[in-house]
This record gives sequence, structure tokens and C-alpha cells, in this order.
Amino acid sequence: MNKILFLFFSLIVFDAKAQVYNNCPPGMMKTWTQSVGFQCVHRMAFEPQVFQGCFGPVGPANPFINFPTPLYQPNVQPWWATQGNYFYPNMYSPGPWQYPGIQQHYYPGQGQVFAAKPNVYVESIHKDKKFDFTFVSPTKPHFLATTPVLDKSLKWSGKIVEKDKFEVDGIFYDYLFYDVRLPKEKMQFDHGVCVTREGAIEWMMKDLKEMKYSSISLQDFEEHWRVKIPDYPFYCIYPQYNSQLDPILPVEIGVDQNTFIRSLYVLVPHKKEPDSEDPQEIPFPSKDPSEYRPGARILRENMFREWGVAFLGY
Amino acid sequence: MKYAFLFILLTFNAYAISIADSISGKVATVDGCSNKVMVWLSLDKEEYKERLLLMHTEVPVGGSFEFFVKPGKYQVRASDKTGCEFLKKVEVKTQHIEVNVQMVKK
Repeated sequence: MNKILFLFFSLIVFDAKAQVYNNCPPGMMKTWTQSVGFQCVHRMAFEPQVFQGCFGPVGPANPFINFPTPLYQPNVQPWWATQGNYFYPNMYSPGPWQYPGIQQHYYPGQGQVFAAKPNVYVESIHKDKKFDFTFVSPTKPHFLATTPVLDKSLKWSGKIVEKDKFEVDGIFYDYLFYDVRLPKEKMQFDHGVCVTREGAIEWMMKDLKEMKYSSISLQDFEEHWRVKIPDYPFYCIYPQYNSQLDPILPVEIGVDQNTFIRSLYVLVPHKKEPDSEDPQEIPFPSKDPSEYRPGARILRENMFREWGVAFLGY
Repeated sequence: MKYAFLFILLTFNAYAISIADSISGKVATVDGCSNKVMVWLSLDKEEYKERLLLMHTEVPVGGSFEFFVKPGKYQVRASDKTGCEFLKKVEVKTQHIEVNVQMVKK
């Protein structure tokens, strides 16, 4: 009898563990700790959204207020986040992570700023136009990843096709991508804002919209960074625009009539509300960042824009 | 003495620069899989909690990618939204490694 009870109990425990191991419900993520093992915890990225408008009044005036929550809620995670979480324990951070930043000993090269995923997009009036895009730093940049592969002279070359895509070696790319390490000393840490995690995503999206980034690039940005920004309640954002990035990582674009707008947001997480009286390794931003923002009013035939988010390495 | 100094200098430089090499490749697939693939690079560990993800990039089929890494053992994995997969374990010493991703249906 005891054996049967033990077997029954073991099966229940095993089943519960297996469920946690395989999947978490929408809006939750799988975590692992030494003391508890695997468990599902709520993600900050998927806080319940308040819908207004056709859903009627919000609050006590809503006649549906006492109804139970729906059994099915759409999973807003992109497919790659669900798969990545299944394979890797640190899917919801930009790399191996230990507060307040990336564990840099896992990566080659130098530079305390880990610029993750600068994506380069194009908008052109041409349907078929040759281009090349070359990194021309006097010293070789500390790249961590690129798509597609750069040639030996650190150049992508091909054609702008369908007005907003790149064709390289006969393959169409929606954007050109690189990860790179950059020197912290050459970045600015005076201008910026401190906001909640959700506020940080909204602030960066708004900033990109001010610079007229295309809707597809904004969509990619939001999809990627809602997943990859670690869960901390507050972030200080230090935007680096052309005035910082062009000297650090100069680029030459071989196509007539072009403009290249660059924006890289260095994010510094905070576990509690930023207090200016606490000592800080990185000073809180005190100046309005918009004065550095590149102007986007003048349009050229070929507009290149890149966005990226960076974290500090320790 | 002169050679000893030269040896120390070279050794010091090698570590200061932090030796790096790369893993690059192209992506191929089969009918029924997606035309875009996520290529993942992680530490080569069996235990889930130790299999740290280092980088990932979305690559169109036929496209190419490159990861710059320290010497060590890694897993190059690829997946797409239809469930097609690829996995290869590699050891990087001081040479460039080519890993061509061939997606297969599960």
C-alpha cells in the first residue's frame, strides 16, 4: 500500500516538474535557482494591458468587472523567444548576465559597452541600386557577430532592392546586423532619462519615431527588446547618436545621396527607484538628450538608419 | 636574455588582446521549413542551467552569419518557427571554423 502511495505521489511531483520544465503559461518565464530549481515567474514585459475604447468603461462602472478572467490569453511572445527559453536559461537577457551587466569574460575583444544588435535598415526611392557599407575605423572593431558575413575589408556590398531591403550575394536581407564591443570612455553619460522598464521601451520607441525610423524597424525593435531587456524595475537610458558613434565606429556608405542616422541606447538597470543621493558608478543623466538627436527632416534618396541597445560589461 | 624578453612580450600581448576567432557559415533548408532561421550560439553544456546563450542572429535561407568567439567549446543551434532544427557542437582553438547550417524537419 505504502509503495503504491509513494509511486502515486512521485508521479504527481514528476508531472508537475515536467510541466514547469517544458512550458510556462503565457506572460510567465522559466527561471532556475539553486534552492528552488525550475519555476515559472511573471515577466515584467507582459504586464496586463489596459484596453480602452470598444471594451467599454474601465473600473467599477464596467458591467463585466466581476466576470472571471478568460481561460485563454494570447501568447504575445515571438516564436523565437519561446524556443530560446526552452534551450537556454538566459534567454531573457542580452547575454550571460549578472547584475548590473553582461559577464564580459565570455566574449573576446575589448570595450565595456556591449552594443547588442545594431540593425541597419534602408529606405530608398530606388528599386535596384548598388551600395556598399564599410567600417573604416583605423583599428579593427571588436565585432561579436555579423549577418551577413563581412568581407576582409569589413565591407558589405550588394544592391538595395525593393526600396527597403539589401541584396548581398544574391540573398535578400531585411537589415544588416552586427554585435560589437565599444569603449565606454568615448560614450556620453550626461544626457538621458531614468524610467521604469516598460517606460524605457516606450521612450526608445518614441525617440526612434522622432527620427522617422520605418515601421518595420520599429516593429523589430519592440519585438526584440521586450524579450531581451532583463527584468529590473528601473533603467537609466543614455542615448548615443551620430555625434558619439561616428568617431568611435566610423562607417562609409558607397551610394549617392545618402544619410545615415544612428542611435544606440546604453541601458543601466536599477533594482530600486533611482535616488540622486545614492552613490552611482554611472552618474544619473541630468540633461535632455533630444538636443543631440540627429535631425530627420531632410530626406535623401537613400536613408540608412540603425538602432541598437547596449549594456555595460563587468 | 633578449629572446626571453621577446617571449614574455609576445605572451603578454597575446593575452592582452584576448585571442579571438570566429565561427561562420551559411544556412540551407528543406521544403516545409521556414525561409528565416534563428541561429544560436551557446556554451557547449549538457545541463540546461549551464548552457548560456551568448549570441543569436536571424538569417534568411541562403544567407550567412559569423560569430566571433574565444577559444572553447560551443553549440551552434538553429531553429525556425515551423519546428525545423539543426545542432552542431564545435571546439574553437585558434582557427576559424565553418559551420554550414542544414535545417531538418523534426
